[in-house]
Amino acid sequence: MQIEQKKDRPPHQTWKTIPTEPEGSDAVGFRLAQQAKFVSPDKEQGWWSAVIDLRNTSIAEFARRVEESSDAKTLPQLHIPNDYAKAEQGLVFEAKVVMIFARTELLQKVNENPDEFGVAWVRLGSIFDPDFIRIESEYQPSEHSEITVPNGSLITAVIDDGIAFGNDVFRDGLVSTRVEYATILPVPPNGPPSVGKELYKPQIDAFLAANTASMLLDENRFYQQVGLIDFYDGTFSPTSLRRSHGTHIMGLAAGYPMANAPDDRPIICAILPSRVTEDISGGSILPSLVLALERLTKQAERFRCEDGSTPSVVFNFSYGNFAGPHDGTGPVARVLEQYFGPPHDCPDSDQMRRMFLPAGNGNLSRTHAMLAFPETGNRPQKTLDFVLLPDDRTASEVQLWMPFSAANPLPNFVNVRVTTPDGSQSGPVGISAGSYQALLNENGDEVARLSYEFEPSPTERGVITLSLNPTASLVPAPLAPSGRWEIAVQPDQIAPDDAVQVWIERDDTLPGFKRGGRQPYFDNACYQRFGKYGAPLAIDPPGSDCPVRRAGTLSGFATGPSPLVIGAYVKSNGKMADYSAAGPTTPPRGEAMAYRDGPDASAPGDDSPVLLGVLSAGSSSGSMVRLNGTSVASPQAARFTVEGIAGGASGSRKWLWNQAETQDPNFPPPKPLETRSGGGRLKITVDEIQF
Amino acid sequence: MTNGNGGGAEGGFGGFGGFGGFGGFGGFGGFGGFGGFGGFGGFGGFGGFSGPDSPLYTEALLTTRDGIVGAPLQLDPNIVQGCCEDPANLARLSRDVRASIFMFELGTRVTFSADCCEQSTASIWRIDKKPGQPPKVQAKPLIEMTAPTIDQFKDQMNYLSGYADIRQDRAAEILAQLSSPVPFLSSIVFMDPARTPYTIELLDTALRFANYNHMRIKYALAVKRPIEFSPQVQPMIPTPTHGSLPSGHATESFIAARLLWKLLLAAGTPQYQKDGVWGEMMMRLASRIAINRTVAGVHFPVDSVAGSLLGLTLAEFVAEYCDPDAKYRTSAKFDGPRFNPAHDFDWHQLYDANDDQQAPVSGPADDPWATTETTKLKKHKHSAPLHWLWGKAVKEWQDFSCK
Repeated sequence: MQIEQKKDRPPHQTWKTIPTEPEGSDAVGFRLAQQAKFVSPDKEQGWWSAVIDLRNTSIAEFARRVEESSDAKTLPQLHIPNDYAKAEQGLVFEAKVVMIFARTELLQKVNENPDEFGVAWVRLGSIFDPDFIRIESEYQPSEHSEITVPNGSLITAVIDDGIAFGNDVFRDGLVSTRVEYATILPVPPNGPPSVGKELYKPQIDAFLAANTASMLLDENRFYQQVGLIDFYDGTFSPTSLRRSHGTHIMGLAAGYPMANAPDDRPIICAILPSRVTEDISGGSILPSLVLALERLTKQAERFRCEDGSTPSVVFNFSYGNFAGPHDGTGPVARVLEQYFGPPHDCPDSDQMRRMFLPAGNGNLSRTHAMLAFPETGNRPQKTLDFVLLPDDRTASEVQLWMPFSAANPLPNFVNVRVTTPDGSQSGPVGISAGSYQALLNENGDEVARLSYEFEPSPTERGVITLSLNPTASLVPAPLAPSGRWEIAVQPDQIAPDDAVQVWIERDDTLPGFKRGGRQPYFDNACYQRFGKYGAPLAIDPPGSDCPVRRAGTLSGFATGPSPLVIGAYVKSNGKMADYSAAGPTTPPRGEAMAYRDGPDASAPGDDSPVLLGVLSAGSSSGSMVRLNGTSVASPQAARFTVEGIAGGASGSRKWLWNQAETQDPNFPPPKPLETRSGGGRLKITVDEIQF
Repeated sequence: MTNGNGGGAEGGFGGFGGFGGFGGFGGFGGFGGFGGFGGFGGFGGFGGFSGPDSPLYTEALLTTRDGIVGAPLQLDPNIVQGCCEDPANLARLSRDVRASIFMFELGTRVTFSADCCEQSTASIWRIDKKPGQPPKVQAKPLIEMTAPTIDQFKDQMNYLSGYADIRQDRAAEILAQLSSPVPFLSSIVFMDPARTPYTIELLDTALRFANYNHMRIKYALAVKRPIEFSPQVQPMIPTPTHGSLPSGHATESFIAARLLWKLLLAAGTPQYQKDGVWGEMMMRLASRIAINRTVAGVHFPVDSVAGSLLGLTLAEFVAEYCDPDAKYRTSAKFDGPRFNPAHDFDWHQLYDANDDQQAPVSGPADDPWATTETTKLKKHKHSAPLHWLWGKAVKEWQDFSCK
């Protein structure tokens, strides 16, 4: 009946086959091409933040090749942040992910011909206002003086947005901070670095003193003076809200009462831009993450204990996404390996580093599907009902990841066709580059693209991507139609024991932020959302062959071998929180074992089913607020591990797993699945900062 | 306005606030809103079965009198003339009657002029009178306010969009602060209609006087509201019809905060004297109330700058007439065109709570946008009704100790 109606109405969009060069990432190309249609002309000449994956090339060599390829008449096309010192820029790396600023024209060139630049791939961050970058900065980071700390010290490093670092839980005196270093990325630079601001303890203390009267810190004025809050230029800072993610997280990771603050738990932190969520093209946090890691790891190296040893540093990064290859080879996972993989994970290294990540909150998000075709003979196609919501102001993306194959050429695993809500069906896209399917509106503008690309080493897998424009815009723009789309996957040469793994990229708006993205989801009828008593099902029902699954929703960031990944349980009943995402992950490059089956352990994410969240610091000193999610579980486990390392433990994944395994019997049975809670539930109470 | 003594009658002050068709939104109308005073007039309970002005009640009084009045009596010679200008009379008056007297005491001691050149300037002058003599008008400067330029306001529109981002976070406060700041101040120092009725009466007197002044200045300066600059402000509350600068909420919250701080200091209670923390907290509150109006989309930050300067200065003026031990008099000048529109409102630049002193110069030393002149009072300013009120209020902040 529905099909009949669709046929009665002429489709507003039509699919077209577009021939293309085989090289380059079509998803990146789509974004670069579409951005111009949604960005006001004054910003078009702005800079993109981006990351490149250098292969057997130095930063300097990359810059030279850019210079060579550039027309002298055009605007400068590339800026390397001066965080990379001159000497470092000359080093040739086998593989290194580097953050750059570049203009659209250059990025298109690099994306289409990465080999010419010594690059494996390029990934886009977001468009930057030119005011936010100091191109002319000749500054080179010099060796900072050492920071001497008591023996047995451990550094906590937090990367988050809106960290109210002046809060008294991060101070050891009225005008003395425990934060040795803070970098604020979302603000125009004021000093040597080419992007963002940097503040060291003496400066923070001076700001604290200048804003304290009658023993009270004027916190709004403090944040305005340090540059974190600026109501005039309109860069929204969550720090101006009562509840801010970063403050809550850092409170759990390293907060102590001011009167009782330890002198051996220094803090360093990086404050990320929060505007990326408002980038219509689905801006990525990746370039900012690279910059934050570059700065924080360099700052951490300044610390020395009195006995000359270097204190270990425990990072927390309570961010996640949905998509990516989920085999530990995605861009974020790669970057994390660069900083936290060997040799940095070893207690014998110059400075041992640990990184804590949340498992993700996507367990019930219906953003993951697994398509297997175990039958023999004539195998029927499988379809995914994909709901693209109206009033979605940002781009959306569905990734269909192919299995690994060593064969050359690759087998044509599957053919994918997409049908719009109007009933217009695309041509097939299979495992060969050279063309893609473009959905054109009545004016001939592209509004969606179905394309294949091959992700080079270390991923070495193909991915078919459905990229979609926003479905709403305040200015006239080529919009994708909202409604129920159909993604049909026809098996071809896929083996019966292989599967296509599908994820929808995260596209929702966080509370407190201006509304932008709306999360699309799969709505296959076979997906059973509730149990027989009406409660949401947190585990896929046994025996279900529905392709839309909870298993495999683990955050795309949290799939690599080194980070410690934490799920969330509910304190009052010991059950895993419904939202806490689940493994497994995919083995890399066809290896037998994946890097992980899920998180390493779980920690409290909610006090009870009705008291959602856990308490921690609000933005203002003296205030306590609730926040829930695996975001809050992760820093509690980080704090637990800091104390463990202080007691002589390695703080490794294995150690944490064992701790959780030992503690789990204290909780009500049954023990949660390993794919959701790893070794088990950690008994943690951060009561130091609770009144 | 009603003069009845009924319990709810205090709400009649809301009528005074009849400024806005919006009623409650008249900002000031809110005084009525602080109707906790309804409790004060437990008198209403007297008329439990019917109000004192209801026909049933009147009929009952008539028949009662008829029943018991008896033959006419001789008048007692002890009944003598009431005492002229004696503050003792005040205690026998209803609060709204006293409100009129207090308003007169303050209102007749100021006058107004405006200079409408390229940049409008409004001035409040003080009129000093010698007690017991017919007034000889001799006006001296109290407040002078020059409006910023239209370009400055346009520049400040940046703040309107920036602050709009935190509306969700502040919505409850903004709505609750539409009326009087007194309930919010009560959360810092312990005020209650039963516990501190005279303090509340003093604050209401000051608020009424503040309104009397800022409304006149607003009218003269005729500064447009943010909503008139852009269709994208979309304030989250209705914009009041009166002018934008100075902010009435800033004026009222700062006069109330400073006067209350002065009361605490005058009470001599030791816990209020140590460092300035009680005063500081009240100023933080006043500032937050003022800023919330920018968040709501009805004020520029510079409106709060002018309003807080006005409120702080008027608080000193009110104290001069109330407190027999007042030591200082302060006059202030706000030179709007000198204010850097890229700057936000920051009360610390105007006032130091610790020593209860206004800053002589605010802004760049060579180009200040506000100046104040504080001089030692040579002679005490006399207002017997206000002394009476102040004395009662100060006592409410003295601690009891067991002996």
